[in-house]
This record gives sequence, C-alpha cells and structure tokens, in this order.
Amino acid sequence: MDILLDNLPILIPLFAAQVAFGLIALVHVLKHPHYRFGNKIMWAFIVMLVNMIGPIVYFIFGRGEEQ
Amino acid sequence: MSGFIAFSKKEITENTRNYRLLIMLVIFFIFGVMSPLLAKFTPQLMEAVMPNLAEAFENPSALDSWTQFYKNVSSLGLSLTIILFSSCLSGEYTKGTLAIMLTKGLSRPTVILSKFAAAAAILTVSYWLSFGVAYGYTAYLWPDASLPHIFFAAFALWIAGLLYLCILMLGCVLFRQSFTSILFLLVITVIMGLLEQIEQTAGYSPVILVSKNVDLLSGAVTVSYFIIPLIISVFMSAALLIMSIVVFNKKQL
Repeated sequence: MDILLDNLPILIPLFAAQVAFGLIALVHVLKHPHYRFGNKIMWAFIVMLVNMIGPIVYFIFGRGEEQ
Repeated sequence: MSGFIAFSKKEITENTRNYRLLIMLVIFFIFGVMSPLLAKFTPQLMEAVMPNLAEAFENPSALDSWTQFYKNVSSLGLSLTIILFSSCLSGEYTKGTLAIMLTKGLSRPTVILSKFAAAAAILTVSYWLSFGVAYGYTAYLWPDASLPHIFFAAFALWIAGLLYLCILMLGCVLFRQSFTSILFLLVITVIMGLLEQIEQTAGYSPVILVSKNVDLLSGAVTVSYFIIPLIISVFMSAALLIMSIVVFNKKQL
C-alpha cells in the first residue's frame, strides 16, 4: 500500500480515466434500456466491476441500436 | 471536395455518437499512463507477490517503459482499433443507409475516402495522445534517461497503424460482414509476417514497423533499417485505398 500512497499524484490520472470511463458506460446502460443481449442489471455490474474491458465490451457488443 | 468535407464531418459525428472516439481516446490514454507506471512498479509488485522472482525485474529503465508501451499499443491498441472500425461499412450495408445517400449524388470514392479519413484522424489523435502521455511519464520517472530516435520509433508504428486501417478498408469493401474483414486483415498480417521470415524478403515487410521499435530505441537496429519498410507501407496504403475505391465502385449495395 505504501507504494500506492507515495505515488498517488502520478497514479490519479490512471484511476480517474478508468472511473470516468466506467461511469460514462454506467450512465449509458441506465439511460438506454435496449441491449443486444443481457439485461440492465447484468450490464451495470459488468461496466462497473470489470475494469476497462467491461465498458469496451458494452459499447462494442452490448449497446443496442438507438431508436 | 465539398462532398468529401461534409461526409467526413458526418463520419466524425457518427464516430462520436457511437462512442468509437471515446473508447479510442480513453484506451490509448490509459495505455500511455499505464506503460511507464507498470515498468516502474513491476519490481515492487513482484516483490509483494513472488519474492523469489523479483530479482529478474530489478532496476527498470526508460527502455522498459517503452517496451511496455509498444507491447500494449501494437497488440491491444491496434487490435481494438481494428475491431472498432471493422463495422464502419458493414453497418451501412445492413441498414441500407448508403444507398440513399449515393442516389442523392454522393460519389462512391468520397464514401471510402471519408470513412478512411475519419478513422485515420481518430487513430492519429488517440495514438499521439498516448505517446505524449507516455513520453511525459517516462521523462518524469527517469529524468536522466536519454534514448535515441524516440519520435521516429513512434512515427513508424503510426504509419503501420494507418496501413492496417487501409487493409481493413479493403476488407470492409470486399466483404459484407465485419468479422470477415477482420479475418482478411489477419491473413494479410500473417503473410507479411511470413515474408519477414523468408531470407530473400526479410527486411522489407511492414511488420518491422510494429515489431522492431524497441530495438531502435536500444540501439540494436538503425534508422536505415526502417526506411524501406516505411516506404513500402506508404505505397501499400495508397495502393490499398485505390483498390478499395475501385472495388467499391463496382460493388452492388
């Protein structure tokens, strides 16, 4: 843990980008209830818990067509 | 020309709406930040997880940072770019949206050139953002490291990225499904890799541009080694784009 705390300033951009990406995906999941497969709860968990890959998979494969 | 600009703008807007731009920027940014950090902190991480292996990772240098960067960007980054843009024409085929615009007077070469221009612009911005971030972090973490040809190595990978996009464009024009165009790209990549293995053609293949970047930084190869693959890449890209246009002109939608 010491390494994390000592180097917090240079690590913040990395965490911020990952959290922001997850949140953008989460907002999209909650606002657009149409998915190519799966349901809202499943996607909400995936985008928040699977770091980086979750949002990518959601935007590429899971996102439904906009009506 | 005005048609090209208008359609390119529409392409950029579309790429923003379907989150391609966002994904590219975020992922390449994360790679840029992560690579130097991973190189720097791997020894500490290894010590915590596997103390007996930690010695092999001691004293990371700026070269390790760039090794990480080129490993991440050339494999994961480029694969993701390919997957994202593989659907750039197949979606239009299935929805039939291109037919409407073509009957309204949009020329066919414009479609291909605009699609490519938009994809290339997004790749360029994300890639150089990633490089800039990695450069900044590496300079901060290893203040007195000086490596040769840092920009040239990055430039080579960028040219290779554009070449892959051109191959993908031809794949998208030839085949209706995005999966098949990815397969087409893979086959071409494997062929280029094999040509590098054969003695007579070694040293010419564009594969060098994605695989030897770190050797350039470490001094194992010189800039002249990259010149021929670079020229071949540029000409191949142009040829592939022209072929895409020719095939697309004859294609039934």
